[in-house]
Amino acid sequence: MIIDLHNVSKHYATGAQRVDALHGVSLAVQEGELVTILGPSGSGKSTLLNIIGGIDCPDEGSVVVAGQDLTALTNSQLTLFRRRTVGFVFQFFNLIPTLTVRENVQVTATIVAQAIDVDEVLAAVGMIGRASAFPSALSGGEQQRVAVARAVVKHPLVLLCDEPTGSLDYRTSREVLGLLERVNDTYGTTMLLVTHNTAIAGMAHHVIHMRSGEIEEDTMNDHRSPASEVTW
Amino acid sequence: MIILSKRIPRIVRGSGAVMVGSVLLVMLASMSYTSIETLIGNMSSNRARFAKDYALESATFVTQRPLADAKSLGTTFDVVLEARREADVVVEGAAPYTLRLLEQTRLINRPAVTEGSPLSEDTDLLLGQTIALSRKVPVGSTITIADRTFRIAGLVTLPDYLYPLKDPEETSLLVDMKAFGIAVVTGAAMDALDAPMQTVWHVRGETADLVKLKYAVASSCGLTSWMEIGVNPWYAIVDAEIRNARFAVASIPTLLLVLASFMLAIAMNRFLHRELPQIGMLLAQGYTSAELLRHYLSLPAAIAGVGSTLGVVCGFLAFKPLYYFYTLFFAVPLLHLDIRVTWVLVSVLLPFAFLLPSVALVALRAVRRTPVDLMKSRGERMRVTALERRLHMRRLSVTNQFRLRDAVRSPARLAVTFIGITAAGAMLLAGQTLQHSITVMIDSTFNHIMRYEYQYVLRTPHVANPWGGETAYAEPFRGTDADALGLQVMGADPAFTMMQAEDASGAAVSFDQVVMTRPLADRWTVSPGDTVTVVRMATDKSYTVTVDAVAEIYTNSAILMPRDQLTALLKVPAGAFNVVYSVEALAITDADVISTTRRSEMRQGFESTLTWVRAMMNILGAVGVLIALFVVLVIASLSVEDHRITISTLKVLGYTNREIAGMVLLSTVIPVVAGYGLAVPILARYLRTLLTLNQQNLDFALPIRVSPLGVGIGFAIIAAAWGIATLLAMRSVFRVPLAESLKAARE
Repeated sequence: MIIDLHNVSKHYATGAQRVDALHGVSLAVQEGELVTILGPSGSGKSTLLNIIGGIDCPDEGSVVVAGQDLTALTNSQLTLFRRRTVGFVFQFFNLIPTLTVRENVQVTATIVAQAIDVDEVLAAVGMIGRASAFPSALSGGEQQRVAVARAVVKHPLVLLCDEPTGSLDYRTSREVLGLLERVNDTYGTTMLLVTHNTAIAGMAHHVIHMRSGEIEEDTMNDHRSPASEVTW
Repeated sequence: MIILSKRIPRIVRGSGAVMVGSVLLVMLASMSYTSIETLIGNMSSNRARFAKDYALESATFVTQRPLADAKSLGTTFDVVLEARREADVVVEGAAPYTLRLLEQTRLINRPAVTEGSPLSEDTDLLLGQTIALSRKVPVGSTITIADRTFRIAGLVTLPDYLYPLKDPEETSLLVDMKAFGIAVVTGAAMDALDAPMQTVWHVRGETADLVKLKYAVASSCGLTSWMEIGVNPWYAIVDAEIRNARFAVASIPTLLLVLASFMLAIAMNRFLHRELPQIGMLLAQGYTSAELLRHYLSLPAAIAGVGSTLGVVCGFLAFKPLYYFYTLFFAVPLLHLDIRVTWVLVSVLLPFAFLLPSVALVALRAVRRTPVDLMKSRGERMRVTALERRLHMRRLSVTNQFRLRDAVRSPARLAVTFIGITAAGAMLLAGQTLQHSITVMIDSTFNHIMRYEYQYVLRTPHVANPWGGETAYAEPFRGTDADALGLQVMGADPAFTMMQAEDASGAAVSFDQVVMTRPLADRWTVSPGDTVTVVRMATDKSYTVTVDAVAEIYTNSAILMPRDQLTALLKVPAGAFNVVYSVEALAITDADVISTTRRSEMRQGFESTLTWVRAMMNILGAVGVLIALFVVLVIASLSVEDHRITISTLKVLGYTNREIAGMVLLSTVIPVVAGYGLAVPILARYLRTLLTLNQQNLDFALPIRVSPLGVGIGFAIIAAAWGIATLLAMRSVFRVPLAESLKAARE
């Protein structure tokens, strides 16, 4: 088991009100699984992802990822955890505009001891031909490919994707989903994919439905479809 | 980290104005520090070396009767004594001037030839460096003095004549370098000279031995004058200049670096704000706060490094012309060029000490936030400041509301504009104010205070006056502390009409009481009613007097009292006098007179100082304009960057480029006007501080007066600089694409 959450809760105070972003969430993910986390806005999907990724801390419960209890780690240890164990892909790409495509991928490759070859990863995401371009010259889909490459190049144990197709058109979204599926197959990277698009669940091994900070449903997908057959 | 550092040159290219402005400010700071510190260091070290290598005197004296056996006196008191004959001659021509011929000496005050060759013939002459440079007299030319023609073999400077004043009692720092100079000739040339001359003795020895010598000479030959080198303005005046330069080297680079730090901190704050999501992403991907902090500090480090390196190089290049400029006034020869590692190190490291902390403060705030928090940050800042909430702007047009909101929304930007324009305005006004203040002083002194045209200083005191005019008795004194300049104590009849004076309230001051002049009162912080102790130079005896009034006489350090009171105090014959004042020329022979001064010559000397004040005004003014230009340009560029999306939206809505530029860029008007308004009192304070620092070496008081015309001209120049910078920034407004806001909306 690579991810093990037990009774995790997280709340925020907004003015006088308290918002329970997560309430008593327990979750187990096996190594190599592609997990989709579904739910409407405000269901706690992103909060769950952030806690698993070590960029947010739960108020209650335990979070063990790749054998490390994140709730017991200091900030410096969490940084090292993120460096070595986790890769992130965000909805708005967050590429560095003053670096080229290759350099954006090298940004994460240089901080780990055993990174995958940058050109190999760029070729895997279909961006080797645009390696010298700047993000401003790329389409949304291309930028997201670069973001995926940047996350994957450090060969993380876990790849966390927060709405990776949220700002892409249909065709590009399907391309990116196909890319993520290839990464999962090729590198065996455990992948958690947050989305509000239920159709994407078809390609996952493990599907989690969330609502109002709780896991409503946690099922295994016996009949996976390849990303190429996912439509909406 | 190397990959991230590739961003730096690209960021620099994209933020031209801010980066260039910051580098230039740092460069100016380093350059000014390097050149002034090198100047101070070399003036100081070369003066000391000059004094040592060329046997500077310890004291100088003139006797009333010839000194019989100098050699045995030297042996008895373990001092070195040497006589030097000197004669003041007028060099005729289109612009006549006075040249003090000095006999070449071998033991004390040996001449240093700075150009050309030493004396080889009795018809050779070594011309003083300052008079030669100010009159552009070349080596090798000839000069006619008292019907004799001399060949100028070379230029010379003497260790006891670093600042060539005609009389040591003259006001220091304000002299006409073209009106008086020195020259060295051989003893034989002095023998053949047909001009009145006097023998001045120079002595080198320990202080205790000098005191004994002084008493011995006074009792055997009588002393007309005795002056120790420490209080001799010909030598000591260089201290004042070093002090001035030290103040400049502390204040100017500091001001420039503070400005650069502020500007860069604001620019980095804006830049980091736009980078927040990326910083969050990098933290999420595993970068540590320390790594990101180092990355963001590399930019100010690069600016500091480039600026300080350029500044040090330019500073050393500027040193020689600066030293040359100073040698027009202070004849300290550059015997050895000192370049110390500490100067280079401080000049290079000082910018780092300013820029890095200011940017670190800003960057730390960003990298300490959580990745989640950072990634949620997006777009223009919507934070409304407390000041903005208090503004009531309903009656203003939309355009003015925008400008006012923009001005108060960023206190830091407001502060930089304000401080920058204040500094620029102060620099612009400094020279003008000095010039105006000197003009006021000159007018007051020569049109109101001095009622005489001629002042004759006699060789010996007299009681009977066969010549006419009005008489007074004066002797040199000093204070009880180490006062470099000393003072004159003068006794005149209560009905003395050759001077008139007023006190600070404008009431007439009569001379039937003890009156102190303003420079001395400021130097000793004396008010009416205070008691002071003065020491008579000739006898080292102390006297205590109570000051009844302080007169606004700006150009001498003196105590005036009724003659009867002074002669009784000093036990000299009643009615004795040694100075004669007259409106017309008197028939007093050279045999009776040590020196004759005309009021018109003194006035000319003062007015000639306006030449270097104008030069300083132009340099300071140019620096001030540059600062104003950069500050406004940088702030305007930052404004445009801050408002990119707004500018784009306004374009989409149908605003013209000029209308948008007017909204975004004209918010700097208020801080520019307010900053310049503050420059006036700040400048006055700065100049008063400068004068106070120099009080110990200033024999005059300068009433600081700001010229209204100067203020107006300065404002026009600042406004022009603001206009040029704003016009340049307008191009940035025109370049913002319409699509900017549409792209942001999609995101």
